[in-house]
Amino acid sequence: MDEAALIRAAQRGNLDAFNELVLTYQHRVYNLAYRILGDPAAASDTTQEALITAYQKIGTFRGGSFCSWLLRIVANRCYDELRRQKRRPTTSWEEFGEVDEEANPALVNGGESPEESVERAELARFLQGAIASLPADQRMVLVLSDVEGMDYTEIARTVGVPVGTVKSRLARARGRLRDLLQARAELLPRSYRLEDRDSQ
Amino acid sequence: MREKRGRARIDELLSAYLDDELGPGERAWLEARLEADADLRARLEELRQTVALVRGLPQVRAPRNFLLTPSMVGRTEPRRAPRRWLAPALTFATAVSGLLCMVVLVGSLLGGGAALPASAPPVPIAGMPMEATPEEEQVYALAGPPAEQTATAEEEAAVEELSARQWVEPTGEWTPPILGAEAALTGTAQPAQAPPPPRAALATPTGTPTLSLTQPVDRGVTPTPQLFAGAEEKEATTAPPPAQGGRPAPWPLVGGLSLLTLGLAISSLLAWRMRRG
Repeated sequence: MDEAALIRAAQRGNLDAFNELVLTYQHRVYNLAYRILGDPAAASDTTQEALITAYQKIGTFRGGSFCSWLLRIVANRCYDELRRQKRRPTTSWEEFGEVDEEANPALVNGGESPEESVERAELARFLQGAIASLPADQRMVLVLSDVEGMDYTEIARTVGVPVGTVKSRLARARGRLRDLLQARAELLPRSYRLEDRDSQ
Repeated sequence: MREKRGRARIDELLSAYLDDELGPGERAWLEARLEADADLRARLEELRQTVALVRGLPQVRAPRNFLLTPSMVGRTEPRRAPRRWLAPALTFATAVSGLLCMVVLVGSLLGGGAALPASAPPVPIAGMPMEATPEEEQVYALAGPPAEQTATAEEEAAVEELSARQWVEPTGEWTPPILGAEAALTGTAQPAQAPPPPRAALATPTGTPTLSLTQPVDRGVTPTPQLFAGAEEKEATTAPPPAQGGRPAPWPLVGGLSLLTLGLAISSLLAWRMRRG
């Protein structure tokens, strides 16, 4: 059964058909939640809740990219979660980076040497921590743009802000991330060490 | 402050430039600045590499499946659907049954056979014919004037049969003969001990004491509900007909309806509890 048929069946209340769609997109959905929230447990909870919401609202899906529609729901759930977490103390730059590799096996590439694998895993942790240290509104836009590849219009619709706001938030997020990376340049692969390239 | 704001504006243009989200005017202006300013080119390169690092992050696989179950989405089991109408239907059936029972009971207590539903089926009683046989009808047709209180055993049996018939066939069709019989019986000092009139007297009550339709009729002793159950049927088959030619209430019908109402009420209660639970 193709995706359109699965969607139609799910719209008629066929839970099995919807679960077929879940199996197709669950990794991407979880990845988005994880990148935005920065915590595997919170990402799992939010992913499950977002999929339940998607099933309950699938009757409102009017064609187009089902994946984008699904990711918008996930992003909104993450946004709600971030707002809920707003009262909590923000994770400092020094405290971040403790991502459990076993919980996220994809962070380790099996085709690399042990050193490269460690280096890549460390870079992934470093980047994830840097993203997690961004303010929630900037982090949201950065992940939707640079992790999910959404354009500005789609991000604006997902987050519910004007395109100009998306543009400025994304610029601030990237600038802040750039500053963080330059501050910890020794963790970056040699080719990414900006100061080395600058000194050459 | 102005310099910081200007730097933020330049960063915004550089970021949008990387995403190809600048308008033609902004793009031309920025490209001219990039041609002339080496620092600006360096900032653009730093930003490009930062974006490349983020985009190069591996996709994290879900640690488990997120398949939905019916309980997660609050969906009820398909078998539960009929329960939504079952409880109201049982309640309605209980009400109808109870009402019918009351109508039958009140109708019988008031002695109005017409109060009974016309469609109520006659209750069969062992040994009692439900319809008049041709022989009986012939007897009625050929009957002469009523005898003067000289009932034989055969006539007694005939009256007993008639009472039983009236007992199981509670419609208005048999009223004239009954009234005639009662009128004949009221002519005696002790109706309960007097022999019933012959069948001929029931069919042609001429010459007998008249009884107005508006005159209260003593229906005799009405059985109490406690006597209903098996005793009633036994009485109908073995005991003599009610004294004074009275019309006994259709207790089997009332009892059956009572039991039906009780059963429906219990089922209705259970159905409501299941629906809410």
